[in-house]
Amino acid sequence: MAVILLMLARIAENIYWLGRYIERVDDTLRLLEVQEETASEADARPWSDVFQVSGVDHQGKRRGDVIEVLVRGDGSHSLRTCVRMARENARVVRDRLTLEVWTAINGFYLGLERRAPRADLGTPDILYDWIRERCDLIWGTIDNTLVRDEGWAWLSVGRQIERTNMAARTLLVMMGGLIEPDERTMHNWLTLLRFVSGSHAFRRVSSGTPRATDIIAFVMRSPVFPRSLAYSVKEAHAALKAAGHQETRAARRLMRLHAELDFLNPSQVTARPDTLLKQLLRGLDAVHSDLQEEIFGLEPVLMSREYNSAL
Amino acid sequence: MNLAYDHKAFYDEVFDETGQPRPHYRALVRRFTDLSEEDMNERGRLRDESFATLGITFTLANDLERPFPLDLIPRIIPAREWARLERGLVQRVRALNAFVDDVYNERHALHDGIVPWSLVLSAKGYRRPMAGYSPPSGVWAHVAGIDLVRDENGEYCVLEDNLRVPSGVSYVLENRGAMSRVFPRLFSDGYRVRSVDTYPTALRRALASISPRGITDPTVVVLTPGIFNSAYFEHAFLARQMGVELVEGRDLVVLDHSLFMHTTHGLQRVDVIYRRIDDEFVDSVVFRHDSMLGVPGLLSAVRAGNVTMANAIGTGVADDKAIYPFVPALIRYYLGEQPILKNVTTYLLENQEERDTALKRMDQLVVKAVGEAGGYGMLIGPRATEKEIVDFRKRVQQDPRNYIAQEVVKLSRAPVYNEGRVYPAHVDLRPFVVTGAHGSFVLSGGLTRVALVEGSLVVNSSQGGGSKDTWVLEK
Repeated sequence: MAVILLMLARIAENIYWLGRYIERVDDTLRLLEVQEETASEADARPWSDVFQVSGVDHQGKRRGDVIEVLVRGDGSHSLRTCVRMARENARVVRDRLTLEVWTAINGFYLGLERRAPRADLGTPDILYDWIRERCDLIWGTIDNTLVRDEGWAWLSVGRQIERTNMAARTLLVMMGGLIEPDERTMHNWLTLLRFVSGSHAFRRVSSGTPRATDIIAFVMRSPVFPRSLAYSVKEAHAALKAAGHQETRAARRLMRLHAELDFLNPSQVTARPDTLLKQLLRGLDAVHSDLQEEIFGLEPVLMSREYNSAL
Repeated sequence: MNLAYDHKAFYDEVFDETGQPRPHYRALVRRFTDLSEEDMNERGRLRDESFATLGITFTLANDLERPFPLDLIPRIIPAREWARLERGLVQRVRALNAFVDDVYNERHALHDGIVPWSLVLSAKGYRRPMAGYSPPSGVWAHVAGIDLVRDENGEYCVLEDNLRVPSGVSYVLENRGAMSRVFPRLFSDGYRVRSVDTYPTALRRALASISPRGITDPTVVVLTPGIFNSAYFEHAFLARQMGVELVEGRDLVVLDHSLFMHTTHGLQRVDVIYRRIDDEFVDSVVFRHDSMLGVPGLLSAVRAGNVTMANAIGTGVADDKAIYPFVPALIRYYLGEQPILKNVTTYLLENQEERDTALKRMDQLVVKAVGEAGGYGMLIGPRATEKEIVDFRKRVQQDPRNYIAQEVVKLSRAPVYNEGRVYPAHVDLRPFVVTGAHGSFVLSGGLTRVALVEGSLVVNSSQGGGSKDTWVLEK
């Protein structure tokens, strides 16, 4: 039997979005969890930051608002919608997925629809733990059962682009008001690390008293931390190459973004983080447009939603 | 569980006239008799959960996805009974293929007066643009679903032929999977059941065998109308099981009378297309101009011999309900054989004499619109009100070509389990016949559909029908 070497452009796009949506759930969940843990501390970030990172245009400022919109509700930015969109994309590419991956995604959708509307606002961590396990199960079954073909590469492209995007947006919002790195604000810099799930990794690679510039350098360009911006951009590029598209504009642009991050001077970042991060986000948008024009072609498929770029 | 009920009045699949289980059902009845109600309900829950998680669903018009209802008690067909059915099905499909090929080419059967010209040329499924076309190996209907019912004597009759895009085969395979999860022991309890999972391989082999360029490893695709189609699950299932691409019309383009698909690395040639879209929608240049589901120019690629379509366009001429009464004659005509499977007695309402008789007896007959499927556009005389009969009579008189009348078949029954109760329900059987260059493959068993609404005769899933796992036994 012939090995399928070619992939439909439409299917590639659906798989790319599948990767993005699952990663978005994962990242939004981290955001909610860390906010929940740190909300009672002095200098806690306001809950509205979570809205801002997620691209939600909402006047609410309280914890209840955020949980209502992102967790219990089914508006366009909620976890439920992301999971539903992931599942819709998975249905379209059902013939490309193994039974294990499909049942993991479908089970996630069915379970979340049952649980989220009834979730206890007081102790959402039971639900969060469950969501975390589901995300891990999906990535685990993808890792363990999917053929390493072009489809797998597109999942990875989507996942890494989404991860970079979410991390950059998190940094952009959460670094607001933290411009002066000194002793007194050190605690806030450590909180920032938690928001990008980097505390553990940072402790492993740094020694002595942490400095703000170290933290910035770490989250921006660490070559060993899988959630650093440079790392995920590099992974996105590698995946695109694995899909056989190293000669495309999108791939070259990712290379350039990686080089820019790699050569970054941490003190530059503290001086003007907004400019740098916004530049990166614009670069990622351009990569997405490149993919659309060069590879996916046609009109965009139904199953996608870009962030509103109101940031 | 007590499976016994009043089994008289209809042929019963499980129990004979004395109320005893038929020999091939004895072990099964014993097994189910041992199960408690709680046990059955537990297994029912297991089944529903498993279907929901796997996403084995179908979509009703304007409705959400529903799990395809599977009854817990299987249907059993003994080996010898099946052997005869299999021969009858292959015979029928051979004759039907010969007929379609004849209609679009020499038209011997028409010249020889076997089937009236007017019926053929006025058939909704007749496609004039296909005249003069010869598909590879002369096969037009590569996948056929032949609906069988059993009359009050237990004899199998053909109720209708489905030669366009028959669906339901994925449920046969999924039902078997679910049953072996829910009743693991049933399959090791002395029954040797023939496997059904050879179907995708057989289909793939048949599709590869009709490649237009004679290449050994052609590019085969499954064409679906898309995710909003009620049978999308099945389209994805078949593509996955065969290891071929599932495409939509927008993925395809015809250039220079050849078919290509848009891939991430440019255009790739397609050789065989297993389409799950009706004729009218496949090519907006020739058929419905408003169709967004097909590929403009596809027909030209087919006619140029650069791509083979399964089923071919135009097979609907042979499964027209007005052609149906002639199928036994067509078997004799083309094959010189006696039909193995009989038809249900049918009256052509276009014929004045038959119409007059039928119109008087409408309360005893089933009247069907010839172009409809899925149990729509149908009058069941004995169940109809006076007003419905008057209405239908008017419709028939206005357009007699569009209707046939059939004697009511007293469909056989089999026990179903539903919410703590066992009751008899009417069943039919849709076997699937796959035909390629090297002959026909018949899937062992097929889809048993069951009218879950007590007393109902309509088995279509769109109208409250369910299904049963169907076992064909090894000798």
